[in-house]
Amino acid sequence: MELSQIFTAAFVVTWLAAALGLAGPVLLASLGEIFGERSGVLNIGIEGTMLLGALASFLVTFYTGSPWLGLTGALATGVLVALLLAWMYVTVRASQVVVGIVFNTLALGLASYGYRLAMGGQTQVQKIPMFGPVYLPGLSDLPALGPILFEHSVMFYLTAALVLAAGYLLYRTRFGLNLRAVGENPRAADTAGISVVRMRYAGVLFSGATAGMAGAYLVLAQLGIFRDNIIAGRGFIALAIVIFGRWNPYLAAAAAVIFGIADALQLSLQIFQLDLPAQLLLSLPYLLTILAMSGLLGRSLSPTALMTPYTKD
Amino acid sequence: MMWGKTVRTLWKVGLWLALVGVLAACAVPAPEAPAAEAPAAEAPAAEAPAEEGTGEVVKVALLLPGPVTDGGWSQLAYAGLEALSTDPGFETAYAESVSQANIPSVTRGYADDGFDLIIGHGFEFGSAFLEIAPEYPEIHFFATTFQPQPEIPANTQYVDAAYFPAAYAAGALAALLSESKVVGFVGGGDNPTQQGMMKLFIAGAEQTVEGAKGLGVVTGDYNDAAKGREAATTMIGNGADVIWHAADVTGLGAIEGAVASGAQVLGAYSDQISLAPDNLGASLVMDLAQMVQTKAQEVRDGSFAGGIEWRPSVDEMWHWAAGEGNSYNSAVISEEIWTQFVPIWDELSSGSLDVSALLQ
Repeated sequence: MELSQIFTAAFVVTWLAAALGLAGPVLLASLGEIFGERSGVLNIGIEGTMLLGALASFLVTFYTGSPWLGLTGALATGVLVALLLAWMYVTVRASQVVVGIVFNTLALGLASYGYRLAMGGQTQVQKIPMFGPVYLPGLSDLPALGPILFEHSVMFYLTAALVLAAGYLLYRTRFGLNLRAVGENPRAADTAGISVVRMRYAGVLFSGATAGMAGAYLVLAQLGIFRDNIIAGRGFIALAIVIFGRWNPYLAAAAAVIFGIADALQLSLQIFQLDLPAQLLLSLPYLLTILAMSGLLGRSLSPTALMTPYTKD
Repeated sequence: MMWGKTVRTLWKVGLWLALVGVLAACAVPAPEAPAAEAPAAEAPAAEAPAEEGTGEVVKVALLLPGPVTDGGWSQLAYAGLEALSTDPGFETAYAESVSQANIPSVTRGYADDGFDLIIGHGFEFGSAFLEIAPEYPEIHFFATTFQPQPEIPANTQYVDAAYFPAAYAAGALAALLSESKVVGFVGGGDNPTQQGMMKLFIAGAEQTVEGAKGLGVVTGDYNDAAKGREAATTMIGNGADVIWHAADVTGLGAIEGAVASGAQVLGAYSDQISLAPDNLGASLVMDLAQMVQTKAQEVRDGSFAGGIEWRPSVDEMWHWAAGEGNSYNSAVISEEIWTQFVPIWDELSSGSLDVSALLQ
């Protein structure tokens, strides 16, 4: 089959629109994670936080009928859960990897038990009201660009706005400077009068907040249902995006889109039944992450104090 | 000082682990402890011995790969077990979310506890039963999957659940329903059954309506609803206007993708009309509850045959449904289209339309 037969306008538009659809939730989760990691805390627990956020958004919307309240519920759940995680990471100074992994298992148990408690006895899959696509006069009608960029839900635009807000907060404010200082050299920051504990709590709370909302993104903007396995590893992809995006919100946005493009391409190409293993395309973004970490694509700048608990004395 | 902190940390992590253990046990009944379910308390004859048959209670264990709330594969079979549990002639037990690694220990646990019939609900159990069943010649085993090899134990039955004729029928109905004459299939795990269903769905569409085109995407995952959604919208973007799925949770996303894009959709495994009352034409429901009950009855009356692959016809294993008492949703499928479709379904059911050659 000729390439020109495959890469038609409809194909490219559909492919890129699907790419942004797949990129949205993982980008949202990675934005907060950047703050956590920049403060020196690797929060692996975002997979579980996303799941609990997804459940909270589902249940709140189910009982109130309002996706906005659902989103608020997910945000609150994310922050609450992050408070617990931050206590383990920062105050108790437990191993960040162990706590994160154990928490993800705990969250799966909690979510599956919680859903059963609330929804037990329902034989049909329950569906809730969702955020519909936002129509932007003028923009949504643009050829090609309209369907790719301007037919998404409010969650997509919220995520895009948060990319800009995160970039501003991290690079243009005193808070961002302090947060980064704590992640690079906590002792020096402490000497300069910056509270390491407070900054790291803030970083983890940010990661919990966006992870909770990312769970809500899946439920409220894409699926309208809840299942135990609804996150399907997206928390871990968000962790990879943080690395691939070099702990920078703008680059993370680009990284998430590249992930989405590769993921959507394997869906799109299957339609043409080419003799190309889909797994190969799926592995591409991860290969890029490994390359990014290896330093082949320039020096990787991970926060120096990442994963190092801070002791004052 | 340092040691004190390390010990404190370990103690707290230990507490977490214990908490996880407790919660996991709440969420998923421990498969290693096969506690038999008591018959429903409302049944008046619950404590009386079985009224008919041999007079002995038949003990049936159902081993499920997923949770009983999955809204599909596992839940449907569990419904059959629940129906059995109200019959005083049966004693039932189940283990859900049994992982591949736990299959041997869970299966042997029930076998050692003297269960008469052990049903392994999924392809995961296919090869495991080959090994375990010969150790318990007195017990009957049934695995809801194709016979994995020519030689199988004399006390074990497998099933060819008519997936391929079912997929052909779905392709035919989708093509009849389609205005653009392009229809799409969303598959789950990347395995021969799903690949075969995709092939037959496409064949069903293309042979039923002249000039129709079938598309297909096997997502590689039964449980990724968000990916299922994008798979459906991708095919709709490339011209499809009717989507069918065969992929559990991934399929739930495919239905939502079709709804969001204004396309029509057909459901699978369970009646999924509640997910898309305006867009879902009908669901191809798999009668797994009936299967569980049939096998249990066969064990009770002694007609259960081991060493074979059971081959029910497509209408013994599947039926079309759209809400209580309806075969199809008349808001989506016109009577005329349904009338055109019924003869195809009948031919597939009677075997006069044999689609097995299309798999090659």
